[in-house]
Amino acid sequence: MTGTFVTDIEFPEQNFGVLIRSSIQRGRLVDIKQPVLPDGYFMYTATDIPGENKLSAMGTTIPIFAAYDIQYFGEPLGIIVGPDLDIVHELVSEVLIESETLEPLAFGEKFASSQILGKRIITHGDPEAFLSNSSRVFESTSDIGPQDHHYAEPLGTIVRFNKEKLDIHTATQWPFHVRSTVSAVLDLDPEEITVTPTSLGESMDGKLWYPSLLSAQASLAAVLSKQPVKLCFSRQEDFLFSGKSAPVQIRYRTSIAEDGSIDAMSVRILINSGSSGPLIDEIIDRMAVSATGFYAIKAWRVEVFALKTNLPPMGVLLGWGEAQTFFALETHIAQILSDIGASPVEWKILNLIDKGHLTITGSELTENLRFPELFNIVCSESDFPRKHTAYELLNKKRTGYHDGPLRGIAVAIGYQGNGFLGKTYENSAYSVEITIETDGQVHIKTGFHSSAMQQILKKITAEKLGIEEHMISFTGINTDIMSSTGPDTLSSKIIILAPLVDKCCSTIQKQRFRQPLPITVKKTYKSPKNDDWNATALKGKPFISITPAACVIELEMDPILYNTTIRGIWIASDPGKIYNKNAAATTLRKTIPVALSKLLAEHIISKEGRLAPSDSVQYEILSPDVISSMSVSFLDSDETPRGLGSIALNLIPAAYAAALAQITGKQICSIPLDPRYIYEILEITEKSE
Amino acid sequence: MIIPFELNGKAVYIDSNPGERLVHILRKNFKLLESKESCLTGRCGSCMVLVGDNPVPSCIVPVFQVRNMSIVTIEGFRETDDYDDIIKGFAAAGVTMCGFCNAGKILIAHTILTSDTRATKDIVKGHFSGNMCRCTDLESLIEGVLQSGNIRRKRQNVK
Amino acid sequence: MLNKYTTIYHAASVSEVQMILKNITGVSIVAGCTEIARRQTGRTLQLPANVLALAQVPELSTMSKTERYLEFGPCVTLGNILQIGKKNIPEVLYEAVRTIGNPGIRSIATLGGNIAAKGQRLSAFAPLLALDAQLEIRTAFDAFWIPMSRYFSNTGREQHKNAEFISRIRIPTETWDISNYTRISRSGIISGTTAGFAFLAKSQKNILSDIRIAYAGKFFFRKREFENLMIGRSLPLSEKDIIILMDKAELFFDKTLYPPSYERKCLFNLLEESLKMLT
Repeated sequence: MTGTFVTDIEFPEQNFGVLIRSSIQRGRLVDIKQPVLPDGYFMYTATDIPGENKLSAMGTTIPIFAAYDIQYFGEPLGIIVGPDLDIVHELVSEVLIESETLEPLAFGEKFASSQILGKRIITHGDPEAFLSNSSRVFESTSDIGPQDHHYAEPLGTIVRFNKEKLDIHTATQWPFHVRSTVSAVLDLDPEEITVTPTSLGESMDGKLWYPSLLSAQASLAAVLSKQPVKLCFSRQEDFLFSGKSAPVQIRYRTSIAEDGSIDAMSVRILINSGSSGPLIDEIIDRMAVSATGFYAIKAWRVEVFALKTNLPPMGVLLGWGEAQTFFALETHIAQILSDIGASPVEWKILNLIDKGHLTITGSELTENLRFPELFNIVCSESDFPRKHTAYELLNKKRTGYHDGPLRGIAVAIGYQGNGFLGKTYENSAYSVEITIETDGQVHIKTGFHSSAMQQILKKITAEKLGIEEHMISFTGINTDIMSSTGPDTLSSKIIILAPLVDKCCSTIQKQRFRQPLPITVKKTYKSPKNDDWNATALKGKPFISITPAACVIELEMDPILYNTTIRGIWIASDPGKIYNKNAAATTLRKTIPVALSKLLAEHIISKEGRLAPSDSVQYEILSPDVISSMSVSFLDSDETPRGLGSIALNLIPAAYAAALAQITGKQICSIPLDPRYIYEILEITEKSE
Repeated sequence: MIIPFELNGKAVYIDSNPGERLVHILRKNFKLLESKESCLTGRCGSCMVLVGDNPVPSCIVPVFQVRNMSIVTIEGFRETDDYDDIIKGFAAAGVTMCGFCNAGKILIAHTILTSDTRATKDIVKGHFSGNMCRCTDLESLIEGVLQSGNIRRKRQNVK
Repeated sequence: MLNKYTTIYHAASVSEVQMILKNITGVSIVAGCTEIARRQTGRTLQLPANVLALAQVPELSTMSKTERYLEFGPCVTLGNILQIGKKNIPEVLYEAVRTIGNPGIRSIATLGGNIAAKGQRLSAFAPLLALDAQLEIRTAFDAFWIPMSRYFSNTGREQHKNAEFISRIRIPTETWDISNYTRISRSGIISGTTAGFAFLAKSQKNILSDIRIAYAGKFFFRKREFENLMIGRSLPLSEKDIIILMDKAELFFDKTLYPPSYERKCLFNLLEESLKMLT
């Protein structure tokens, strides 16, 4: 039931490591003066790195220790290690850092070309012609701030070095990336490094590459000091300095034809990547391809810019940017529909593309998205059509915000993209090896080890082989033994791993009564031919599969304190074949409070490059018990399984904001969304009236 | 500072900085690793211990406060039949547990069941406001507690 | 080293507390320590040089009820207060305590600590203010009672409290026809906008006989002069009465002290909603 956590591991005679960090947001390092170090305490900086002073991920590099350019407040400059953690902290505070300060890079509409870390443009037709000549042009700009992953266990790593091997234990979604990074930094053969992933819990995509950075820093110290080193962040340190979800600004301009269809859409997305974004290429690509959703549009232009600023490297959060684009898109569409008086569901059904139609990337949609069925479920369960009309009428006719009740209901659609055919999958291999022993025990060897996924795989294996689940165990506990794998991201688990296990079991079933035991079968996932996807031109089919979904949220607003109460959440999705319905429902249900927390409570501000919770010493997280009623439904399907992990985050903010917009009459354009923000919207509305 | 207290039924003492968080003392001095350091604000439940009969987040307790008190950690609680009821109930409800906030989930469940093995869903829900689990959903947790209640009543032959 | 010179004094009785206050200068009094912990994110909690721990003084953890009063020791935990049950303590206080922290935090957080917290006023303050609670304050040498409203000031200057402690909290037991507590901002966490609003009203023969309105957050108020405007009025109040009263409220809440803001707006909304309960 439970595994080992990195914070629980201790090695004899281990040293504790604490990072030395920059105290300026941007500048140049002139000198680092080491304090007087007692015996047994050591300090290391970039000059001590024998190999490459960088972590590489998907084409982006970030320094292990800044050697010259300081790019964000708190950037690691070095490490001090020693046997007493309190003394190490004191020594770090005594380090004198001499630096020259430079003006930090700004984030906004006006940016220097040198700030562009990545850029994508997708165009079709002449949208400007429509936008210039149309009398029905709608414009909105959404601002989504950074958010913390707030996984249960803060980042950490522990490393020991004996004559033969470097032994690294860390909670990571990508153990082979840890190995390759440390290998390059220390100029060691990868075979000399063993990475043992510790229990990950729910990482929310926050432990993809950062553990590699920590492990490289700790490994350097372990090798040079010849003693084990444990480097673990406190919650505060993790909050202040680890990557957050990249803040974005998204502007939509849409022209609507007389018949209500979309003539043209122009989208401009600015992503604040921080000092660098190791995953930024994929984030930009995915935001570009999701920017117009599945709406039928005659002409479009989508521009995405990833901009360098002087914040810590920004990244992903439960998905790769689709949540932000769907928020901006769906709230924009909801406002348009409200202004033109169209019924949301009917309009969406008429204006969505489906199987056989061309997508924004010019490929033919091969899946039947089944949105009419999804709408049917969420609408009938929530009574959406009747309520939407009633609330629309009530909200327009009321005399003021005290003429209540103030209710709104909205529907949002979107998808989770699975197996994006970008650099991540291009360079990644996934395999599963299953052995059935003579005593009937079954061992599964894979690179993944999340407990939720193990439950699913056990169930698949047990059903296929007709054995009890307790006969099944997982091996492949470290990089010496496990099959080489790419990152353990949300979608890779179910769309790649589950079918591989299924295939292994099918092969075993064919062999087991004809061949002597033990039998071992290994299946490897082959990345689909990238003939279907041109990453440079953003043309073709970008995902292995997509999970379409629809979400309805009903709200009631309290005009006294500007709070909102959720009267109901209804989500329907088509995740393909479901191996374990309970696990699928749990996946969705557990991510709903996370999505709401990101939307309503989690607020980070940045002052002179320093991140802080907005209103308190503590970073506010919504308690799951505030949600009273939620319903999740799945369409029956025999299609290949698809992921569900980011559906809630992709759809709930949009549906919530649109429901609130129905109450307030104003599009909600910002995340997070707290009562003070609602108050400000209503104050502005009342004053203008 | 010397601080005597009772830990998992045994009289112990430590010589410590009085401001050290209790969770840190449990882990560092007594190697009781199942109370975890996470939020350090008393909200996630990963560090939960029983002080007297009350579940208390040990991350917000400076160690000087436990002088002469009785502390039970999840390791101590594991030795009891009450623990088994909860594990079986959670398993029956399909509660996923990575292990990090087990102390919170289990000790909160125990507190509920000690008070009432037939606690309503609302009461259970209110208690779990002090547990921020990312691995499982609240519905499954609530069901887990209700199942645990059934198991406990059967074990105790209570109708 | 952090807390290297921190000395902890554990008292076993109230007289011992007073003796320590007499003999040790600059001692900081703590009960549950949740307020200290709330403001710190470091590995080790930083404590003042001299700390007097009250949590294990039995006399300070008692609860009693008479015909006229309900009394709590300052070290009664918030969890214990809820355990007494809604029927046995004033509803406004029960509802306020219910919004504090979570069950685990309430197991150690104390009523006295909630009242005495520096910075902004915490959740129990408004109900106790509305209920006309009295606080017994003890110094090294004496004991005296003060009303809640005098424990802190609103002018930004807080009274020096180092050499004294709350030894009893006395709440008059009265029955109210309307008893309403509202928390501004989410339960369970304290933010800059966190505040409490308590409203009590009772009538006799359709005459408003008493009304209490208290608000506590970054600032606090309870304006007897404002309440007196309403006492003696016939019920139900009319819409016109409410408009007049709201206009007068503007005068009582000087914009320099209570500037236009989300908080002020919430306060006035709550005030209006509460008065509407009398219509």
